Amino acid sequence: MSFDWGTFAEYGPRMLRAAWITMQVSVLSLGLACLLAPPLATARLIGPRPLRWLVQAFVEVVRGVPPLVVIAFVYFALPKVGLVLSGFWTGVAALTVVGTVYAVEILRAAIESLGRGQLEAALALGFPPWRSYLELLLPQALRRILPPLTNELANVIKASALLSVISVHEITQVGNALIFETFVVIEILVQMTLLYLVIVGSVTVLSRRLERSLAA
Amino acid sequence: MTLLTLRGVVKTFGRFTAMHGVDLDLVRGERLVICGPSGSGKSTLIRCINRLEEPDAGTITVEGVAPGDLQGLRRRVGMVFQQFNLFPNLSARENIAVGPRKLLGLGRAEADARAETLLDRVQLRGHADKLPAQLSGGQQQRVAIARALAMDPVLMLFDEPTSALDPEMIREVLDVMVELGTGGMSMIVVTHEMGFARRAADRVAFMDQGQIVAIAAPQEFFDTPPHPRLARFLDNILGH
Repeated sequence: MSFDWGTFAEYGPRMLRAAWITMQVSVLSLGLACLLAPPLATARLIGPRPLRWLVQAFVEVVRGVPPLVVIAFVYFALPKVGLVLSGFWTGVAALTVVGTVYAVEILRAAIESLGRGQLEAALALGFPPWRSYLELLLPQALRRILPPLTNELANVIKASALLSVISVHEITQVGNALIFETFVVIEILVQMTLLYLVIVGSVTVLSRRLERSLAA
Repeated sequence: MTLLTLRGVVKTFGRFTAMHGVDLDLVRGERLVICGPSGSGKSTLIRCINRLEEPDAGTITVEGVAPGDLQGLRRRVGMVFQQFNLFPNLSARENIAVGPRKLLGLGRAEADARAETLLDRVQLRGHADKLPAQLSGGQQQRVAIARALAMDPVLMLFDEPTSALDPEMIREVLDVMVELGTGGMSMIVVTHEMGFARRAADRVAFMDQGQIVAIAAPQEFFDTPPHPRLARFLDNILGH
């Protein structure tokens, strides 16, 4: 079997553009998920009962189905309610949903593991419950959740490959298209692998750094 | 001048009644010690005063606090817990400054200065930058007292503040509490430290089965116990 390094030069630019799309989708959806998860986790813990149930039901449903189904749902359902998004933004929306619910669960578990004492201390000082969670308990929970959260973020990045089914020109979609165009299989798969490793790897490295600086 | 009034306060947990209609008045500057067997409702009583537990019936009023203003009430009533409950990610200074800064609107410098003053007052000068894990139990509890004082409360509640401490650290915490009481702070202390009650209380109350069975000045309370159950209780805890 021969391995044609020339394909790297030939298809590299297209693959790099695809990697750029993957990174954009990932960063946007992960960023949105990190913004949405803390208030939702707080609502899940101390919101009025109907809100608590609503958040919990949403989390359970999304966690209970494959991300591909979530993507299809967002892709077909949003236009029905009059929201027509490009494939790219549909992908961002779907991955945001997936990332958010996993982050909510991780946060909830971490906050509950802190125990009641600290919550009571915050309440006794006069912090309203939601501020107790957001300003005093959450910062502590963040340190504990970083490792599991990084795992989930990496999973979301990998799930971005599924956006190939709705024609987002990310790594997997472009790689597949190239394979069918050119019948160069192994070389392109190797390029796809390397790109994913770099992207997921850099998230892992960043998170380890953050973990160390929080621990210090 | 009455600071705190409880009338007919009832609290149940499921089928267990922790408080059977408790009445209590506290005047400004008064130091009340509550003792009693475990499960007698003493912790529940003080947890109801700052509404960490919601009473099922009865009224609790703290002078100057509008009924219904839960956060306002809690800002004016300080609480010290058995397990300290410091925020482990914050230094001693930040533990104390966080309330004034975020709830009373003090600037960082002002809140930090208040924290330093209070650390001085609880004999912890020089420990401001330590995390709770770097402090002994007695030191942590004194930080917790300073944290509650930082909100400038009109009443301080202590829920078995020395029960989680090693014997050699009890004294340093009690000394701070005595000093606080001497300085005019109104306080309710749930404790089994009868020496502290004798030394620092204006009145001592004995709770049993969800009621205040006896309440008297320390001398009468200990020397001529006004109730047979109290006499038996004192015998049990002092007699060994």
